[in-house]
Amino acid sequence: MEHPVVVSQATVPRVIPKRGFASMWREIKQGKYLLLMMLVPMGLVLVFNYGPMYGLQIAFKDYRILDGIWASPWVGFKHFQRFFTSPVTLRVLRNTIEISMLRLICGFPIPIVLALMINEMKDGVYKRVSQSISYLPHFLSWVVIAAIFFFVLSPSNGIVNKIIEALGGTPIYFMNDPKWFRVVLIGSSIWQSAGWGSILYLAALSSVDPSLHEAAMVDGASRLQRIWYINVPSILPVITISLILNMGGIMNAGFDQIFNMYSSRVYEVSDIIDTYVYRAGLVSMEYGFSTAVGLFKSLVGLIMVLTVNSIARRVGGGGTLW
Amino acid sequence: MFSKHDSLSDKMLVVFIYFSMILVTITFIYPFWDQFVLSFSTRIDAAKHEIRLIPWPISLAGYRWVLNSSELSRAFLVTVGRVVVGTTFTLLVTAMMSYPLSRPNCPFKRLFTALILFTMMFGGGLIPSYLLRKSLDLINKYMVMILPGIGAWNVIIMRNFFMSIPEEIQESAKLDGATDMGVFWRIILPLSKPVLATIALWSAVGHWNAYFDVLIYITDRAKYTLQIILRRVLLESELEAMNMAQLASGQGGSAEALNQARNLPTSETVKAALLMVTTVPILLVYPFVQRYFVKGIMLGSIKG
Repeated sequence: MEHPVVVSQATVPRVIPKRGFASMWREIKQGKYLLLMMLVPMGLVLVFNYGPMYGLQIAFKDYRILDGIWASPWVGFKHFQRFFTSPVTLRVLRNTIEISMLRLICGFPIPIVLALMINEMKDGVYKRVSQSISYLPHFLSWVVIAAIFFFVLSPSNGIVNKIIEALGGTPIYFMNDPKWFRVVLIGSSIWQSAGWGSILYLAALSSVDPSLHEAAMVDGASRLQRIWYINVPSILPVITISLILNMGGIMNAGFDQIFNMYSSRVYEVSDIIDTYVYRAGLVSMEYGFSTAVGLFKSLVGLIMVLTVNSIARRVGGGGTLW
Repeated sequence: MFSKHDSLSDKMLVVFIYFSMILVTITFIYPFWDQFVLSFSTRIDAAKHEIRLIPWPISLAGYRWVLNSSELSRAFLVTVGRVVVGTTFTLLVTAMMSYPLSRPNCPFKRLFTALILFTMMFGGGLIPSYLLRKSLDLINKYMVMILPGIGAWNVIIMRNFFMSIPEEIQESAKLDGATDMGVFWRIILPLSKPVLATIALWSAVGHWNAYFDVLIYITDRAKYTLQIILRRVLLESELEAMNMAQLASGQGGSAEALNQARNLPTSETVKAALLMVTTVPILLVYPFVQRYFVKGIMLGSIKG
């Protein structure tokens, strides 16, 4: 699940208090049980989140299994040179950015529209049931969703092609056709996340002042006008922050989804950095090269997240972690 | 549905919205319902490839095949085990991390918080993570699915919740002589049921749906979870291989075999049944706990 990430001002954490070592010791003694409590979880974080960072150095090495990380020889930027001169790179980078952007442009408005629509419904069973059903796809794993879509889009059994045939067309091999595959990606992505995404906007809509609507109704405004002139501006801050934060995740073009749905025939339009890293690393076993590409992506991602967060903070409004 | 202020065009809009919601709901449900119907279909109906709303006549052949498979039964147990142990572990470890961070007198609080937040922005990556687990001798062990269970997102949510518990309650407890631990067990935890439920449910769903870590870290088929078997069967066409083995072990006399053949599942009904079995637990639990998931988003996203 993709989460928007916001961090507070990047201050150097003050480990030693202003008053010096003595008061640091006092702080430790006073909070010793708290420290003890954090021991195990912090250890886990250090091991599983920071531990792998030690292995990042093989991006600059020619990793040999028998030698291990330590003894494998250094090769400097060889892997990066290979990556930046490889013909595959352009395709992979292009797909990553294009798919992320497509997701944003097509997928971003849908939860908003859905929320605006649901908001106009009267409270009751029908409204609640519709909402619950819309959240449901969010809880399915991509393995399940991929399997479902393979079937729905099947040229022989799937309902979509049945409809196409009924309208006089020939069946489309959606999952194998480079022309259609991205449509499948975006469509299934919307299917999975639109309902869940609408929760955020529905919550924001619930805080709209009803007296604004009453005044507008007295003045003779239609529902459409009220939606456009009252509801939308009210949730504009949430929309803006949401949009900005989403852009921070541009390097993550949806690995789980693509991994379960793609095939070699559609690599040209769907191979992203993450899937490339996976194949280079675990299929071709080019550990050093795969790590180098992954490191490149992580660094760009880090820069994006930090940039995006500082912009989001400047724009202000709610929706941040701190 | 209509308010007294609605003009004709307003009423049309509302009707349009309700109608669209029906279409939207159908779109969200149909792909899944399709599999549901297919899983209960007879061999003949499954081959017909027509659109049906209700499976009739009902055939349990697909489910019988799935439930008879020892490999699948085992995977089901492994998955349930993973969910139970993994969720408990994650809850414990997350609470142990979040509570101290929520206290103002926590030593090195800013350092630890920064360390946690940083993991959300940068990580080792695929191969380094693999190498780490290999060096810890975790490859192909059950623990590899459980131990990495602490996530920054959950820690932040829990910490924020703990911080929202009024300071007065904790202070008065301290005045009555309670230690930090006492406050934790006797005051904070009982008040934290919503956030604990939310994190537990998030974690449980995550564990149930996890497939990638099993894919790359587990090599022993006996340790497979349902999702990875689902992936192999549905997306990597392993069913045919399994099918052969299953059929080979269950042959009877010719009349019996003929009778059996009529009731045999097709590969499609088996796949559909497997998909339903993998998803139904979530669906069953979902209506009762759905509001906790929604609350979780509120706790995490909207502040103030």
